[in-house]
Amino acid sequence: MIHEIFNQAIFVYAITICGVFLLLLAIALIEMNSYMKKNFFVDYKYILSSPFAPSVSLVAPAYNEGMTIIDNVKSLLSLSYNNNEIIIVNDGSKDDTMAKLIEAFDLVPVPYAWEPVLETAAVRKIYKSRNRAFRKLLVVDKENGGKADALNAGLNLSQKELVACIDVDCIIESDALLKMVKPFMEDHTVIGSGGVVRIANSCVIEEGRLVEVRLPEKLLPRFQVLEYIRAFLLGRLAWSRLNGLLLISGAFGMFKREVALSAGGYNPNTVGEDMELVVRMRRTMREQKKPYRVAYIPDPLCWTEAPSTNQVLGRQRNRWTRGMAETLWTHRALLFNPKYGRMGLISYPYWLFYEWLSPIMEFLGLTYLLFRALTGGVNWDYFFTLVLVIYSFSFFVSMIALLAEQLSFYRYTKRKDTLKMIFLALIEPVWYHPRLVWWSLRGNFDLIRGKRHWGNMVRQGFRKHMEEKMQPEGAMP
Amino acid sequence: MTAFEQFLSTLDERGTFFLMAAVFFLLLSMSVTLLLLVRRALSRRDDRLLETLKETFQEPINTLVMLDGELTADQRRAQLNILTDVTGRSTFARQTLANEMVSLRKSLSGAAATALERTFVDLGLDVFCKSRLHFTSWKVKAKMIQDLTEMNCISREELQKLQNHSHHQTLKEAILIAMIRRDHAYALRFLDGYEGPLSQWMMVNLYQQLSQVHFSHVPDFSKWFGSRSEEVVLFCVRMTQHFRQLGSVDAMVPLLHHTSPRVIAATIQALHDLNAFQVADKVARIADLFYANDTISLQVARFIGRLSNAPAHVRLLEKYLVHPSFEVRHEAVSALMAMPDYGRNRLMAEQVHREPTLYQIIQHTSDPLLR
Repeated sequence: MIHEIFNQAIFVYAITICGVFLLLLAIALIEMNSYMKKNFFVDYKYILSSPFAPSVSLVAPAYNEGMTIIDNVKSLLSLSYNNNEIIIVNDGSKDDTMAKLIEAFDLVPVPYAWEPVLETAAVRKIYKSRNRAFRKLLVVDKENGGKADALNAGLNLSQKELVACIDVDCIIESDALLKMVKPFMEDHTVIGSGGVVRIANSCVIEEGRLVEVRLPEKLLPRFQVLEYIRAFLLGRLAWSRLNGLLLISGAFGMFKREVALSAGGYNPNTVGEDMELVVRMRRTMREQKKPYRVAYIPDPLCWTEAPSTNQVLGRQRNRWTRGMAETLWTHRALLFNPKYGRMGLISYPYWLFYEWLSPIMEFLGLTYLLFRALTGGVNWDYFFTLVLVIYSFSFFVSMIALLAEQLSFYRYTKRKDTLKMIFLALIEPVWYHPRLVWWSLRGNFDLIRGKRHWGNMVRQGFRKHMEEKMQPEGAMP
Repeated sequence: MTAFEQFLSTLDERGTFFLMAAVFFLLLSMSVTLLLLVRRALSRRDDRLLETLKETFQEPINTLVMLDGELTADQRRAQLNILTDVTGRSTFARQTLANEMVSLRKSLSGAAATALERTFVDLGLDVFCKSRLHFTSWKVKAKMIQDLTEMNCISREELQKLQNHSHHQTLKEAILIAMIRRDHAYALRFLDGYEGPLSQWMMVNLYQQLSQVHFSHVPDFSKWFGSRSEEVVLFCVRMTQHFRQLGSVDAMVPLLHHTSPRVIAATIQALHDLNAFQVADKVARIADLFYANDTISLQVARFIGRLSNAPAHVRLLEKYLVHPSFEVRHEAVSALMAMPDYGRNRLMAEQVHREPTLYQIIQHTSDPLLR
């Protein structure tokens, strides 16, 4: 009897998850087609010269970024946009990040007046450059408080309508801001906008600019390329179409400053501050009965370095799981709550049942199988057909993602790359996916144990140098 | 009984369902893989073909455009024949040639532009583009409208007809923009009874098109100040501001009493940009009514700070020094600091005790790097 109930539960879960994924896939493809057609005509240069373009603050927290900070800031300064400012928040770095910034950009302390709407760790000094070429740059030197705290300091100091929060070590496409502001200009109810993040490992980067897109040489980042295409190009696009997007990547997201401030800014007590902010902003708008939308751009706008070792990737995924679980727990009042509309009835349950719960269900399924195998109760033929259907389904989803990429942005142009990606899609369900399940379980376990910090992050660096950034509690990777 | 048949016989209903689903997804995946590879090969082939075509077209187009006045009729025909020989082969080639000419047109003016437009017609590309206006795809239609407008090959009447039969928003916008380029005064008549939304993005596009027109031909936007649509009034106030239509200042003043606070704020901003110092009293008069509105108070402070130093207005700025909004306080400090008979010393002596943040703001405003 118990076996039958368990079998039935796994069966229903597998069927519904496949059904939901197929539905999201179809919605994403429709949205992609519509986006590509609509933006075929857009001349983003109009925004550059227009007095109607909204003003933008770029907020980039930096922690122990001494090796790359100068190139990173230069890259941000060279973005195509007129009405913008760049706020670099040095989050109490222990290396020479601040000294390098002062020297390279001829910074001097200024008596900058601002209103501390959000509470943050103490700001030591605020700097501006004496060189007019860097007049858009504002550098904040503050005590360490973690990424969310640094972003809140940036939100406090920002004087523009929109705030783009970015990871300082990401490579941002030069027209990224022009593309990101468009949804805000098209629809005044848009409160946030996210863009696609891609993997930059092995790509050719010169002076903070992406010169050539290449598939990573190492296998682990390569899997992440496929994973990111699937997640960013299909999953989030579908949720954007449904106006149910709950996550804008912390690597590059844009928000209406006023709404972000009224929602209370980033939560420094969670490791998933990016998702938490979006959920809280949506919740605030809903509670205030104001119309709102969270937009999403399928263009690859931001390139980031992916972890290339199991250890570092494990830590990252562990943190992502904890962040998601914390956000879901914090906002548990949303679950099936009609007061919150689609967010409460569709988005939140999806994240809970199919994002957070799925690794747990997989693990439970495998444990059950092992138990049944030991007690001799496994129907192996049935088991193999089940494995085959899961495998073929995941391969199908990956292939659709690759096709969507090819039909839209086509960044991996070499034939070898296409063949490699197909091969990756074939082996991913058995080679890469089980690791993700394991790290996710570890994340949940660590959360229960009360782990709250980010964990250490080792970066290879775009210029092939080795750099290790030891993270204090709550510091950004 | 084969092994497979044996395997099938062991499966129950659910197992058979799984097996069928697995086969279905595997077949689908293989089809998608095949499609991916074929599509990739085709796009590579198209890219190569595109490069070859562009190279082939380059020389004859340059000759036809740059040496337009020097070519004999036979020479001209010979160059046209080179192009038609290639374009006659495929729609892809014709479309490529049209795209090349349209993109070249954007960087040309004067005689060279006229020569290019004539060549476009002589090659029958206008007919080709117009034939594609009957396609069902709105994307193709919109692209053709853009191309034909760029090459001066479509009339206002044709655009009007297309507008009447278009339902897609992006297509409608493309037609509107094309109409503005053909006949801006006529095109803007859509504002007369317009009640729909006018997004900031649409404003960017309309402004871009209008800014290419000689300023004397830009329509007087004040005629729409009485529109029932808040969006239209906002759009016209902003256009008046950016095209510096100084003659519209008087017509703008009644908008200070508009029902929408957004319109009032935009009007004060426009009056500020138009240096309408003569209406300073009228602007100051609404300050009390909207003291709680941060956006309007900010605009009033900015306006008064720049365009008036009458004692009553200075008192208004002093009132703003304790405004709940930090931005308004900041603006009031900047304004008072800039006044020759007020300045930093008086602020420090008389006002700094009134609000704890004022000292910081004064310091900020005094710093040359932060101005």
